[in-house]
Amino acid sequence: MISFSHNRWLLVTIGHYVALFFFAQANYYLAPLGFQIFVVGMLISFSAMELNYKQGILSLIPVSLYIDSKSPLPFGFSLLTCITLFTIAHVLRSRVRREITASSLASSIMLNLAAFVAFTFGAIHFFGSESIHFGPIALNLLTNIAVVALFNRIFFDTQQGILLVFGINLAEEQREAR
Amino acid sequence: MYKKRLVQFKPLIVLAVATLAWLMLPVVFKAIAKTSFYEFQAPVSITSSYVRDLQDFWAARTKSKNELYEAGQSLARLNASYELTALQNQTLEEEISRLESLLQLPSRPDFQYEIARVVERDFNAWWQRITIRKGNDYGIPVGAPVVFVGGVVGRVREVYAYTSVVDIISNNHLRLAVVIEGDNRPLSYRGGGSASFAKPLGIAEFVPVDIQISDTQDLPTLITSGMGGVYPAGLRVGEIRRLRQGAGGMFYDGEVELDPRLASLTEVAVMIQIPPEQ
Repeated sequence: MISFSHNRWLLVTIGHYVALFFFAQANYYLAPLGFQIFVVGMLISFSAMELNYKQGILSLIPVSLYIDSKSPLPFGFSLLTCITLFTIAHVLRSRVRREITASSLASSIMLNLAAFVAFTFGAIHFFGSESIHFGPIALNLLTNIAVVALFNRIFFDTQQGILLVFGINLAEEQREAR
Repeated sequence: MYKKRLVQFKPLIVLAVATLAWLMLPVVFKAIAKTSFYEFQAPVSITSSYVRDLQDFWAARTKSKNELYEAGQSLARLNASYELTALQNQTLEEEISRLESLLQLPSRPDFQYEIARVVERDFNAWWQRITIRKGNDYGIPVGAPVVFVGGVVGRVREVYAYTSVVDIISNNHLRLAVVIEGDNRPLSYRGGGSASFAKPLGIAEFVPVDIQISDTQDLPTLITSGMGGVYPAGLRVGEIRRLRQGAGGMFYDGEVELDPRLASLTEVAVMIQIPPEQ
């Protein structure tokens, strides 16, 4: 019998994957406008703010490898970016009041921004800078900030709700235990 | 005290060890992992594309009988004109092969067209790609040219069991040998990225200085030259919208406007070369 409490990363990974699936469907219809929703930072933020180090990193590894398998960047680029950002966020999380919604929103936006910048530099490094224009990059970045601001609360509440269904109440656990 | 301090650094140590371990991992392992992760989630993407097809089907079911009758009529007209064009094509092909045998010219490559639905569109400021619903199961080869009604779409980059990934011609690393329609001097084309709310772009290099853009209604059209052996000659690439002095000063560089439909493709054709002996 699987203990969901000790393997909560599995539930979080499935939640991350479902979120990516829905945003991929939205991207299909947004493609003619030249936009792409990029919410990797929001996923990293949930894992870093709500789970302990081991569970958090385990929840992100399959998701980042999935992103890697679909990206033209070298395999492992997203993995290293995600676990680096996750580690930084996890180290710094003791300095913020995680129970406040604004903390999760601020961390999601900042992590998304950092992931976006990492992908931009990755694309410049591996494919050259000739076809990367400042205008679309800035517009995509602003759109992504708006999307994260809009969906962050829903995403966090849904993930916590799913964990609650399996008997894991994050709000009742000790701050350092999760 | 020392142990407590070490615990604080545990995440950073784990990160360093994980990064080193990943960098030292054999390439074969990474390639297998990439394919496994891709194939594992591929059925989900394919299913979502079938669901989209079903949505279209049910959306079509809501149309009134009058609308369907009108659509049927216009399709019948279109079919009649296509039948006529097919007949003309057949006559022209026969004429070409007669002249080729008369002049003892080497035979041109023959292609088989594999029509495929678009499963995913990956259009962003970094790269532009699509995933199509045919792969190894239909014998799609890596590097095969992909076309649509408006001309060149791109080239197959990765082939998996049931899907393939196609690089769109607006990608920076995709290069083609092209000519201006009505002019046989070869030029070089490469992708120029995609801008939000704008058409995908390309860049034509080594444009001769005698080429001028005076009329915005009659822009020079770029077509494939047939050189390089990937794309057959005569496929539309785009129109040169603007010219600027090239790096060497002897040629122009041209900004190429690609077909805006590239970003909203639902169906493409993969050109699979038929070996001459068949």
